[in-house]
Amino acid sequence: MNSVPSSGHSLGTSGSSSSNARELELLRQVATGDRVAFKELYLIYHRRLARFLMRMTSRHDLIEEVINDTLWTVWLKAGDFRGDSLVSTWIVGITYRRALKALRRHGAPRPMLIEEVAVAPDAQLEDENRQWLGQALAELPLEQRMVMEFSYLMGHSCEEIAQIMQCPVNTVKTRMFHAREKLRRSLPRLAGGNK
Amino acid sequence: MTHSDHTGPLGAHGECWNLLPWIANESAAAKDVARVEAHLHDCRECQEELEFQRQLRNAIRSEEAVVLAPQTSLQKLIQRIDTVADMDDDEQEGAPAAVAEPIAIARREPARWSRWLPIAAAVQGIAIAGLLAALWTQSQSHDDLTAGRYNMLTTPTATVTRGPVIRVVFAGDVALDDMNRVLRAIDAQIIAGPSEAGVYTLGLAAGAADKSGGVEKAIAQLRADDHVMFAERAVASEAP
Repeated sequence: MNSVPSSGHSLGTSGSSSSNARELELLRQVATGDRVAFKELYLIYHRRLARFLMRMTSRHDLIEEVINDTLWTVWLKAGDFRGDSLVSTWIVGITYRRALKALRRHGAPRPMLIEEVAVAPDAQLEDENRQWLGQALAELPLEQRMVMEFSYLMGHSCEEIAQIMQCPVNTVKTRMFHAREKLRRSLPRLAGGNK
Repeated sequence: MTHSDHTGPLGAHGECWNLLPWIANESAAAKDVARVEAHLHDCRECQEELEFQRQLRNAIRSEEAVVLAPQTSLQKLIQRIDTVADMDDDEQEGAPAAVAEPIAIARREPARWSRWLPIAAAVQGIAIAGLLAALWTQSQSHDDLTAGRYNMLTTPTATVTRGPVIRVVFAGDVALDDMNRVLRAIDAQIIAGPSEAGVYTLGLAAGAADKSGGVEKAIAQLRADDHVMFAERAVASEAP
């Protein structure tokens, strides 16, 4: 392999320039009290945030609480957003901080285990890999797991993750380094194809 | 793998190796992509690692999460917004135009479902005025006994202005320590609340309120705090 070809998957979750432009427009409308725009923004982010939060806790009530607290903050502070980051980075950052507080308040986080997630019935090997992956991710320290989730589930860049987690870029790289090392040890089958 | 230190391998190989996750998720900057591409040409270890990271990313993204229905949650949040909007409308009707400071969030929709809120707000206002009057009278009558000798927990520690007051909604998960810190930072006391919508009414100590722009500064400070969801100026009921 002599180049970096696309893997064929669109980024989707993190902000592409077109989706960020649309979200910025919605945010400006929200700042004027536009509820139609707010509902559109809510529906865009509900699924995205729910998917992410399910990796932190299996409690649906907590997930709903964090999502609504996040979007409540967005409603109140939309006019304060200065565009220093992508809209998605700003909103995910709020979600991350609210989730950490909620989890601290309600006890140790337990991510939704892979068995609780719907899987295709005819993909036994894939299913096994998923189970290993879910277990391996769950065993990572929270901050390392979050860097992995922000990168691969949400599609954020290293710099965006540093903004979300409010830490230096090098800290993100260090957390990712440790997460990669642990996952490589924990996922022999996934890694085995490359050896 | 030989990456046994804290940040991975050193040099150009190390830099590229550290960037591979963001090459795999296609979020790396163009200059980083170019640098990694050049390195990958001759580095089998990074080629294998990139392939592993892509598999990892695809596996994580392919998990179909249980989808929560958003409409119910959205309705709850809209109701929360309506409640604060209604209270704001009630305040705005009785406040002078100069005090109705424009803020980032518009709350312009008319009250739709809560006819009782104006009545409740009026009763609350009267109660606050009565309470302030009682506290003032009480502090006057006990001044001779308490001044300069000792303080009790119930002894007022600062004179709260009867001028402008601030309405605040704290974050749902705010801890008592954080709330105390926020209040101390602007030299404010809670003089009413929380209301059913979670709204607290704050009074600034006379010194803080009398300063030029003191109230606006306090509001700006509140809005900048992560523990505060909402802060705006209101007008206190006049105490006798």
